[in-house]
Amino acid sequence: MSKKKRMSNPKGFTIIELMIATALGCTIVVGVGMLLVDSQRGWNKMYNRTYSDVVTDAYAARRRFDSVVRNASYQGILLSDDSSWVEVYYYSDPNSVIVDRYARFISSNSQLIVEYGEVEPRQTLNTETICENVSSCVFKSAGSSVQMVLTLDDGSQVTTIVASAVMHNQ
Amino acid sequence: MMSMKRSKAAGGFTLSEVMAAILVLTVAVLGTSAYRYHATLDVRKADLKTTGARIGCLLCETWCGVGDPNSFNPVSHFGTDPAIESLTAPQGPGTPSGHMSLGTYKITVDGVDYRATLFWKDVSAGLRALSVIVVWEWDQQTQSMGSNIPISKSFRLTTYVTN
Repeated sequence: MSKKKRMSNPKGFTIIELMIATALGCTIVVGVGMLLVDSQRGWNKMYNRTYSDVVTDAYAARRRFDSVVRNASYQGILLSDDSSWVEVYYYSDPNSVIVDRYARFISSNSQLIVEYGEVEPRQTLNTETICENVSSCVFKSAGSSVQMVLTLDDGSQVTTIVASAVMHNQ
Repeated sequence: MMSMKRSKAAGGFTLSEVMAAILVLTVAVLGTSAYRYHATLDVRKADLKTTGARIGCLLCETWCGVGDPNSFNPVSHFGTDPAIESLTAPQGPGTPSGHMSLGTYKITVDGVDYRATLFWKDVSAGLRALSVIVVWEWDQQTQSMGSNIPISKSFRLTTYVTN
């Protein structure tokens, strides 16, 4: 009979104690794991929002659009009927007396392209691809200002950028 | 009695060592998580601010290019690129006294609603100030900035034109 009694100074744990400890341990591990996974997901989202190609491309497109349009002459602007391209005119150098160059922003084949050229005779001098993954690009004009609404989509990240610039030169 | 004493050469860790290790690890994990959480939140806030600034700049520059301040209609000009609609005054930031209001608008970019109020004033002979106040996280019920204070911000842009 005395052998069946549990010792007053036992070594080890009972099965109940082990089960409770295991349940508590599992709960804690799962909770911490979910916290870490959620944290990692948020971190990845933040990283993509800051450093993904579409974000940096959109930033570069806006910078280029602003610099070209602000340097343009307000004497004229050409906007396509479907708003897919816009053409502005500028001086080739500060000593020019006539507007002799053009810059055309074109959205085509998921790319945003800027084409530089001479006005007279009409001749393309340089074509530069600003960014890719363009899902939509709309140009508008109001008075002496030009607007661009650009949406980039690389399949995992979508970003929309809006830009407007006033043509400052005579 | 001697057999119950722990041998100095015995392998494994004591309970105190394990608890101390768990404590250190927990502090490290919590610190890292807090850092990542705040970094993510700050990036989100920065993204909202940047987009809000671009919207304000878009409205200001476009309005500046139009010339006559009362002839600019953002809704008819932009339409759905970006999505913009007209609101009544209490649904957005108010117009400061002494200014002429052009209107209050809701602009949606990347699924986030921004509200902008445009107003202007002739500050001196030949000089006109065109201003835009942009807010986000607008609370419909309280007609004020949302309850999420760390994210809710507003700012004002002003550009000057000759009249």
